[in-house]
Amino acid sequence: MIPMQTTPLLHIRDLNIEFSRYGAEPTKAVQGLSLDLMPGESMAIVGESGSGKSATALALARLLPVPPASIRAEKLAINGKDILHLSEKELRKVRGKEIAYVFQEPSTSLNPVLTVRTQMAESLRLHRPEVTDIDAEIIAWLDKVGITDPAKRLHAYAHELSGGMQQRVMIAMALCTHPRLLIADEPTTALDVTIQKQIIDLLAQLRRDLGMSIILITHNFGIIRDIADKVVVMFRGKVVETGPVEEVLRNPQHPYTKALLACVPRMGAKQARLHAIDHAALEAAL
Amino acid sequence: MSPPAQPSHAALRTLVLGTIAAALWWQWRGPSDASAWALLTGHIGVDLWQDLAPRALHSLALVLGSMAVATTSGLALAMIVARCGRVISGAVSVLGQALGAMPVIGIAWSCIVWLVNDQKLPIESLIPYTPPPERDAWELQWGRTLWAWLVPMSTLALALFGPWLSTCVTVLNRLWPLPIEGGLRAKGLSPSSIAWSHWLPLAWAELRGRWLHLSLAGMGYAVWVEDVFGLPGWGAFLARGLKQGDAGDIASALYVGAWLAAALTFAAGLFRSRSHRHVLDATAAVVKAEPRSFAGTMAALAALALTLIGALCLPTTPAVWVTDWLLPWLTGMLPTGWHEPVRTLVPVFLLDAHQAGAIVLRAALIVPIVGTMSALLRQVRALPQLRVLDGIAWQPLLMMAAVGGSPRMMALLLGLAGASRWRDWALALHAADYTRADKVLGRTRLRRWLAHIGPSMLLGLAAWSLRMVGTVLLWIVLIDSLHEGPSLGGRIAAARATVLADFGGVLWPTLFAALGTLLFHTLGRVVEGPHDSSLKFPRPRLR
Repeated sequence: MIPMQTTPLLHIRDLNIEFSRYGAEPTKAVQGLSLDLMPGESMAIVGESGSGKSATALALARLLPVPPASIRAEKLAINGKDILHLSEKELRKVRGKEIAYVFQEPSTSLNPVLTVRTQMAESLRLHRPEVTDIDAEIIAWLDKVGITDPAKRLHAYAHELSGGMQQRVMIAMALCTHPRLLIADEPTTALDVTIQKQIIDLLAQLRRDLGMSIILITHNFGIIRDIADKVVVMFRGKVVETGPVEEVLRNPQHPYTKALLACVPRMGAKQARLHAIDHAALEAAL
Repeated sequence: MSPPAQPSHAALRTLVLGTIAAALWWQWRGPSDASAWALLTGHIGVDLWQDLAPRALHSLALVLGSMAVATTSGLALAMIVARCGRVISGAVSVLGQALGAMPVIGIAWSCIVWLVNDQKLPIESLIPYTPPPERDAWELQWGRTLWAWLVPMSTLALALFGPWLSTCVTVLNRLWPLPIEGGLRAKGLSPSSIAWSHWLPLAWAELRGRWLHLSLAGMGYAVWVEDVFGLPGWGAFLARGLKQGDAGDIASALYVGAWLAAALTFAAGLFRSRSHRHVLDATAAVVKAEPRSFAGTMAALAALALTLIGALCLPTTPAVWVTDWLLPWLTGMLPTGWHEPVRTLVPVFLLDAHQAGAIVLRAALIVPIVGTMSALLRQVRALPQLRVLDGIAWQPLLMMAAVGGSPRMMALLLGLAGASRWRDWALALHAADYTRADKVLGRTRLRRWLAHIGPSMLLGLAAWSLRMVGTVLLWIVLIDSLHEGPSLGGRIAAARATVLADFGGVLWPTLFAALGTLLFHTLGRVVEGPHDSSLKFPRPRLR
């Protein structure tokens, strides 16, 4: 059982992210975002492409390139650490240790000329220097994320693994440092449907086992029910709706949330054509 | 240009092909009772073990030492330059190419003039001073050894540094920023860790092939460096044989050269990993080609026809009327106010460029025929004997052909090497998505070839040919510099006796050769076009 705490792990107030281009008006990617995430809690940030969810995720560890990005917030703290005022050296201790990331495309996160062992050992040496038997630790984590014959996969290169296996390696690499918060940025988008389900189930199980917090970034409402406690819906850089997952799924309030839910195809339901979101109407509703 | 994909068992192939070349050379050019077996067992007047083994070790140490100096300094400078923006890195890359286009003999004489003549010393002062035995000490012995190695090694390293720097800047720029940089920063890695642990290994996967190619070129350059500095190495032995036309010396040096090339290939193979091979192969397989228009196809076909006609008609050596009439006429045509060496060297340069062009044109005739046959047969069945093309493409073939002394032999080997590239382009274009899409649409084989394959292949052949003209010109100048004659190399050979008094005699032909080589290499790059963006981050292929 995870002990209840009152101090949030992630505390964001009035987060604004802009991207500036020479000779053009700055693009407001995120406007006035505020949210809290308690330890052990899981949250999904849902929205279409360009709604600002990935920019938000990257801003949490100041991974956005500055410039062109500029990040402003009244408060952006993880585990009590003010992210916006940390030095680059202090930030590197937060990245990977306090916050870990799993990105959408594993092949752009894994170096093709280094083995799985080399890349996982790099994280372990950096954030868990107390681990003496690195090979055993890596094998244990590969086993934990469901990779068959982990000892053999230790010396595999990225191209020798399937897409699902690569994503599992990415998850193992992110979790082996015992982070307090895992940010999974569309971790299943590049995978086929059967593997998507496996990866989401794996994340849910690991969250239960390790007691960490998860932020799942997705544009797909269909996958959040099994993993998230609450959901934040973003549209055009703004939070348009937030609440417990079941409540939002059962009784969506905002037209954009309703439109997103309507876009999820359902098995057995006969539809003449797929739903498309009417952006003009939504703009007017905002 | 990335080197051809290294074939499997490259060291063994190098040794076998080099040995065959030496044996054939001895059989054809040696005395009437010459026997290839006698060469291989060292019974042709040269004791391979006693005469040539120490020399070969000397040359190997010289090449490896020079490569170590050139590689580390070039890579370090490239890493700094690659972070200074595209303009600066582009300028440095061009400077590196210019240095790489300089004939090594010119660099060697420049070093000597800079070291010796600047102090108005006799050239003998390069030879380390040996005190009488009773006054000799180990410090002096070390100093002598160091001096004897330092100057030639630095000279050879300088010749190898330029092309290596240029390649490093290109590859590092192509890989920066790393597509995986975001993920690595999210892991908490510092910028220096990202550079050392990820950027460099990824770059090395591409650079390693170039390293080996350059070390094989360095082995060829060692012939001239050792000759100029009078070192007791394999290269000086070969240079002496070539000057004297001693068939036994040349054949023995060729045979030992095959062992040296195999040793270098083996040394480079030690840095190789399984993943590196996949990345390299994937890089080599990507063809920079776009579907061309009908007009482009026709233009390319016309260019090919002209190339073939030219290859058939042009002689590989200048006719007598050229040397007797054209040369003086061209000299007379140039304004008298021009700098005298420039005025007299322009026609000489044109003759050398003509010879290089004729060799490459003949090779360009061989490339599509042999390459297409190889591709067709490969599609039917992966015949192992056809892999011999890969082996030839991997050889320091220009040096071997040059030692053969025949432009036709050089054209043949160059054509066979180019054929392996042609075959790879053809197979990759056949497998391209847009070609397959046309096949599904029911287009005939000829239409598919005209629309997608032919023009790209011919453009690739044109780019390759232009680059090769530059490379062959450089080697022609080097080979000619062993004998006096009416060519840029011959002028260098004639000027070496008076180099300390008149450095211009070596400098001007060297600059002409460098500018010519650089010009053709640049033209080749222009025809080739910019690198395909898919090369930016090579995706390994599953086999």
